[in-house]
Amino acid sequence: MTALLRVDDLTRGFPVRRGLMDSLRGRPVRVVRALAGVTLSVNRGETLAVVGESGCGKSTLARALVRLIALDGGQIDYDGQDVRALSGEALRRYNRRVQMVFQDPYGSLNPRMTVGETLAEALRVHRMVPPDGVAARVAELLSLVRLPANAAGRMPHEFSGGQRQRIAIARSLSVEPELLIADEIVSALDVSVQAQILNLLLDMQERLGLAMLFVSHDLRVVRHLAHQVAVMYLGRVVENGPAERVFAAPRHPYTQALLRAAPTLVPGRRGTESALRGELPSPMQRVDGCPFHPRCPAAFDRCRAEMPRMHVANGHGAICHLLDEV
Amino acid sequence: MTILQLDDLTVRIGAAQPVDGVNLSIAASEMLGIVGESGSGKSLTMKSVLRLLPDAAKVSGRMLWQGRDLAALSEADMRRVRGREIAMIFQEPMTALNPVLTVGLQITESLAAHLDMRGAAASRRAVELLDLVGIPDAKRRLGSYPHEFSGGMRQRVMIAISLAAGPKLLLADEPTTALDVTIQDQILKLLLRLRDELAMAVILVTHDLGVVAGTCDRVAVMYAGRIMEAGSVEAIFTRPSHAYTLGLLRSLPGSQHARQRLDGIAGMPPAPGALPPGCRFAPRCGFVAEACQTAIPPLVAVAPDQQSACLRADDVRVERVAA
Repeated sequence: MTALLRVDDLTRGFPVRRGLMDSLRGRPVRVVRALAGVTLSVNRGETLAVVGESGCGKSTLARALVRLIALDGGQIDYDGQDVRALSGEALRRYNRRVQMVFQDPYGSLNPRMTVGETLAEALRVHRMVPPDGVAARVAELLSLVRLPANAAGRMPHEFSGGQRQRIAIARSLSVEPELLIADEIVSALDVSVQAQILNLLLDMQERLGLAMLFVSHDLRVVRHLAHQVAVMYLGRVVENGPAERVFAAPRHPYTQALLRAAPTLVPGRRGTESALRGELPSPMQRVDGCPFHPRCPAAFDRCRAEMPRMHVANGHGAICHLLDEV
Repeated sequence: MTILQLDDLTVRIGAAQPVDGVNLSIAASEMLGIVGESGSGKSLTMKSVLRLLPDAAKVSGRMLWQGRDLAALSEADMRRVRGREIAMIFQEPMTALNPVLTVGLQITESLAAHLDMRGAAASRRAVELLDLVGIPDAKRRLGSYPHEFSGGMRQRVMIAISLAAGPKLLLADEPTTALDVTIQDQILKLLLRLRDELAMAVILVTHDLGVVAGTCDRVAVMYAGRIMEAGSVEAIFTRPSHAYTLGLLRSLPGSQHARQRLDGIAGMPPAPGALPPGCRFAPRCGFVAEACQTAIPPLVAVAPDQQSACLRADDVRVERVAA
């Protein structure tokens, strides 16, 4: 399987606004490191799920990949091209080949355009079809995401959340992308509607050979969709590998805790012991050594002093000192 | 022993009937889940118990709380129930807490209002309460403002305030929905521990079946304002007896093999003003029969610890949830 997208050591910090007193005292500007060296790849026609809790940098990563956010450092390679160096026509082509769908279908559709206009605009901007073929293609796209043909003449507010998410997906598919970047796109939906969207995504992947980078905090959804999984914590990928292996035999203590904490459908009382103590430290705070050590049940001296390295076995990697022992 | 019993609870807002003849009971020290999708009426049911709905909402039916009908209480009597006997916490602790008052003040305010406890005794009790809900360094944190806490810690503060008067029932409306999964896990375990230590009943309203499975003793499944099925968590998750419950469980990723189509529910829930005449779920139901479309099926026992409002319950019960 060849990699379509390869990102290497991406970094991005956001300066934190100082208060007046801080600037008067000449305190240095503090920086939140949203991406602290992210490395991962997405294979053609496959789904890579990026999972993690709020503040882990997963949405920053998604936005950086479609160049909505500039990066401080690192390399993005898309099908042999250096994405960060693209401009002009080449950038437009990249923007067509890589499409993004957002969590909030209320905010991502223009409320004053009919659904048909929204879809036609994308088709025209990227000259996907001759002008007289636009209407037919719009109808085709609507049926692809299983919306009635008369949806084209209606406004976004006339649709439910799930239907709007279908419209957003139809728009992204209108330009025949190869890679779909989906940022929590089913998180705001009820489970029955969520299931319909997940079915649609699986269907699209099969029919169009679409690759997906699927950002989510929901492990159940990820397990269902993903071929590969990358687990992020405080701006880093702490574990990655084939989904079956990551879920069956997680190697990083954080992944293990996430899986223990995730609600399952097996009825029965939980123990009173929480899966993971403490909370995410403030991303402004610098943690020496492994960023997970303050919450890690298995932390030892070395974890507090030294950043662990990535250990890879059979395509399944994790950064943890514990893996040195074996 | 039943402490709260809802009989035919109905809420009308204009022509709509978002809560429609709910019958439900909860026993002392029980953890009851109410699960349903958006618009199913689960939050409105909770708010009507505490009579927190605006005047435009017309509530009918009985709400027996330790033998008294809450619907018939005077506002003054109701105020003695609210917060003192039955407390409530919400999804978003940031909007439920007062941003300009310290956490200590908000707890002592509650102690003064409900128990007439003030001064040093109230401060001591406030520290105890923060301690109880697992806030480290409780004494120092009394002087902190809500914005100085993380989302999970704010929800703990909210719980501490709700516990101030020692309620016998806590209504928790999606208390972990806005939280990360490891923090959600901590809060759910806190609720379980408090239930055990304080012998307090909890009604946990949630859209997440997984949260119910791991936390509750019993569960009621709501759809379009009605209870479709109720019973022990064990019974409902292993042998769902309403076509809607079965559909919900099958909608969840994990019920099928990875990357297989989810056998969910087609279509959308009805608008509260345009309900179908018979079973509310009939238009989306794969088991629908003619009788389902004419009269509303009553909630009847299908097993010792399970009631269902599905005419096809016998056929649903033999289905398997997972592939």
